Parts: sequence; C-alpha cells; structure tokens
Amino acid sequence: MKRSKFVDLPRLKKSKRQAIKPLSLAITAALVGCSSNSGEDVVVVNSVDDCVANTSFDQEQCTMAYQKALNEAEKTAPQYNSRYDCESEFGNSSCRENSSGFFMPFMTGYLISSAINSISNQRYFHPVYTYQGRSGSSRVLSDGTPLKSMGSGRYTAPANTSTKAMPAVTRTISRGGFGSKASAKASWGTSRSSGSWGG
Amino acid sequence: MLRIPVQERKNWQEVANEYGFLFHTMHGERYWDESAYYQFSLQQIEDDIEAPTEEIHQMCLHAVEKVVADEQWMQRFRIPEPHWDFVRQSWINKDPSLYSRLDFAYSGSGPAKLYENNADTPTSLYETGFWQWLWLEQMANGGKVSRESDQFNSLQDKLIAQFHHLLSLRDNPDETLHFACCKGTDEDRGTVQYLEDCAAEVGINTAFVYVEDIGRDAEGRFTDTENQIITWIFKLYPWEFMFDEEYGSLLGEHPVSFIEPPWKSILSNKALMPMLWKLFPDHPNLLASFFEDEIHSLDAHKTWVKKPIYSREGANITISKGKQSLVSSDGPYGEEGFIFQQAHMLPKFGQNYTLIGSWLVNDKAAGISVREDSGPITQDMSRYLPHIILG
Repeated sequence: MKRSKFVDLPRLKKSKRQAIKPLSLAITAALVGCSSNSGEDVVVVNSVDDCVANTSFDQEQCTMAYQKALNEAEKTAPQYNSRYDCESEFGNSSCRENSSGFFMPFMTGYLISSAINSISNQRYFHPVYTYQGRSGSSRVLSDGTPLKSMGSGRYTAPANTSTKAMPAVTRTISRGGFGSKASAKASWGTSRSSGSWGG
Repeated sequence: MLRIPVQERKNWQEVANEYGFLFHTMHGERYWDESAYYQFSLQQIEDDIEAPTEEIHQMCLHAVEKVVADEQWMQRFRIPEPHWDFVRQSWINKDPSLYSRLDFAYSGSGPAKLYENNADTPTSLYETGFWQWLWLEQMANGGKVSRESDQFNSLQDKLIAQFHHLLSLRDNPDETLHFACCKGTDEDRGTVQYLEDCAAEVGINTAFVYVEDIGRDAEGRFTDTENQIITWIFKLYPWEFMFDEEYGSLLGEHPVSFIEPPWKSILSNKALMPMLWKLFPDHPNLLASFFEDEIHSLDAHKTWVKKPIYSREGANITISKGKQSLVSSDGPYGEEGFIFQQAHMLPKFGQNYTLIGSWLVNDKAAGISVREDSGPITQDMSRYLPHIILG
C-alpha cells in the first residue's frame, strides 16, 4: 500500500474536537504506575487567602501565582465536547464553556512547591482540578496526573513538576520586520493573486 | 495515466467544512475539483515518479554542496552576500529538512521532466496528505472507484514520523515549535494548521504567530505576540524575502532552528536548474537549462522558457522561440535575473494541461498531487484533482 495507514479521522475534524485524552484513563494509568515515593512535596492552595495562610508567601506573591495558574488553566485544562462529558468526570456545576465552545473544569486550586523560595514570572504554576472518581475525589493536574495526598493540604507530585521552566519571555522592542516583501508583491495585480506565498 | 470523469461526492462541501478545508473554492472559482480523477499504474508511479524523485533529491543535495563551497556560485544563485555564512552554516550543521515538492511534466510514458523544486515553501500539502486521501477512502467505500485502488500518498504518515525525528533532535523536549505564515490567506493558514496538527500528534508543543507579528527584543532575538522567544520555527515564507527585509540582518545572530532550513534557499531557486544541468548533463529527468549569461548556448531553433531566479506560482514566465515571444505571464518578480529552460510542454488531457507535484519528506518520496490548468503555465488558481493507483 502506497498511502498513509495511520490517519486518525476524528482528530482531524475541526468542527468537533475530542478531549485531548480521556482523563479517567490517564488517572488510572498514573495510579497504577505511581507507587514509588520519589516525588516532589507540594502544597495545593484553594485560594489566594489559603496561599497566604499556608505558605511563606505574601498577598502580592500569592496573587501573582494565582493569576499565572489561571492563565495556564485557560490554555491547558482538559476539554470536552459537552457539559455532560465534563461533569461526569468533575461533578455537577464544576465545568464551564470556553470561548471555543468546549467544556472545561474550573480550577479548584493551584500548586506551590515546598522547594521554591521565590515567586517569579519565570516560574510555572500548575492549576489543580478536583476529579470526582468512583472511589471519591482526588486532586489532579491538567494532564490527569493525580497528586498523592499527605494530609492537611500537602501532596506529593511527580518529581520536577514545579521546576519545569516556563518558555523564556523577553521584552519586544519592535514588530513587523518580516512580511513587507509579501505585501509589496501582493499589491501587484488584484485579479489573480490568492495571496499565498507558497508555491 | 488516464483522466477519468466521475460523479462528485454529494456532500463533499459539508465534509470539507467538518474537517476545516476552507479554501476548496477561491475567488469564486473551483480549486478542489473532483469531477474527474487521474489513474496511474503502480509501475508508472514507482518507476517514473517515485524513483526519479528520490534520485533528483540526491542530485539537488549534491548541488547545494557545490554552491555553498564556492562564492561564485552563491553569487550566481543571488544569495545576498551578508547571508552567505548563515546559509553555509546551516548546511554544515546538517540542519534537518521537513519537506519539498518537485514539479514534473509527465504524460504516463517516457521520463518525467523536472520543472522546478519547491523546496522552501511548498503548498497544496493538506489537499494532498489528507483531503485526497479522504476522497479515495470515501469513493472506494461508496463503490465509485475500485476497492483495489491505492494512492501514492504516504505524506501524512511520513510528516508525522519526521516531526517525531525532529523532536528527538531537540535538547529540551518541551521546547515550543512556532508556526508562521502571512495574514490574509486561508490557503497558507490551512497548510500551516495541518503541519501544526501533525507536530502536535507526536507531542510537540506548538504555537502560532503571523509572519508580520514577529517581533524582536533588544538583543535581537525573535519574539511572538506573547513575548515568548522564538527558538524553533516553521515559516511558510520565502527565504529570499526574509533575507531582504528589516529583520533579515538579525538572522544568524542568535541560535534559531528554522524549518525549512536556510540551505533550502539554494534549492527553491531557479538557478538550481542550470546548475543541475551542468552537474548532470543529459540526465533523462532534466531539461537543458542555462544562466542568462550563457544565452549563446541556446539553440535558436528550439523553444525556451525564461523564468525569474526567484518566483512563485508561475509568475513572470515567458515562452519564446528565437526572438519571438509565444506566451508570457505577468508578475512582480525578475529583479534578480532569469534562467532559460528548454521548453517541454505539459501533457494535455482533454482541454487541460496537467502538472505532477511529487512530494518528499526529508529524502523520501511521499506522494503526488495533480494540478490542471487551462493554459500551459500552471499558476496558483490551477485546479487540484485527486488520483488513484490501479493496475
């Protein structure tokens, strides 16, 4: 056969996208595989106040971490085609519709590593969700990785969870230094060009 | 090789919407055309297209080797001098390639003749890798074409495999791969989205930025609209444009991995054609080609095609015999000079001139696309027709 064998049709549909992966499967796999004790000690805080009360950080720092986790949730929370699909994993009234029409669970907390002593823009703050499984609820990360509860807000996360570096950002001083040739050539002739710069 | 009229799938526009194929009709004219398809034999595909495609690619790599090693060649390829090191370095580093498309005139018999190499910014990728694949799947299931039909089209499988390889070369597996194209073109945006989907399939973190929105910081590093530093980017935008633009002077200042890599500027360049003819004279898949300053070598009794060194989508092409110009197309290109290629007309099927695009993923032949035009110069509004292999 001289044609592709592994085309995954549902994934290529643009009108309806499946949840990135079924969260329940990811959780089961992680629970099975995650019996070792090597991991990272973290605190899951449920609010900015909770963060101020239970970590060494102040109001301003806790707010910054909260905002960063919230932004991250917008980008990486699990997505579902219907409210029903979402709520069957996260419980009633625990999901909202995003701007693309998918349903995603509310962030119910965020993760602060015991190992960090400063909160900076370069650091990554994980949103945490509350998964309602058959055997009770558990706190999970965006990809379904469950956090192992150690009691009183303390959890064990997979090693290096909170030390994962954010993509490097900088200060942009100008934009638009590419693309001028394309617009110059495109202004030639209006009847024919489709505007493509491919060939 | 046959052109076979066939009934269109009744709901194909609906299916196109479902999969986000938005540019099947452009400027009110049909671009995707399934009122007919082309049928090839397996032997035609394997002997006349697939094998020569891989062979020509190797010949092209040999040409790059020659050009980067000699400033006279860099000059004749009109690579701007400030970028010679940048281009040369990417070749020395063996910066990996993703894909290319060779355009052939092929009638079903005799050797396919190479028109040009779209090595830098080839489009019609989605139509080829996915959309015509889906057409065959549905036509075969509906009994409209033989269930024995195959297609020369492993493009999507190979793209995904190549992204997997590209990811394995990165030091940081979480590095973001940016995807960029120009604003205002559904066709380019669709092509880039398809590649982004293929990259995401192997777990690459992707982000999109329009070419016009790329920024720079004080150190000269490129940034996206969220001020994230761009370190790895696929750009559906010609190298020769980037070289000459404001940020062109920043290229090579900081390490950025580009797809396609800078050395592809030597292959997407029409100067490649006379270069190949010098290196591999009388090769059955090549047409005699000459630089402008070799005009004395042109046989005045033959018909020649004059093409700009840099051009896209069949613009600024003149077909002439002796001093008489037969056909020409308009366009904004040509300031960098021209080359002459021996005329070899596209085969005609009914009223249509048919061009074969033969795809490569890295160095492996990966499938074909068939375009039809009512005139002998294939342009960007040429229609795209699906194909099958049978027998």
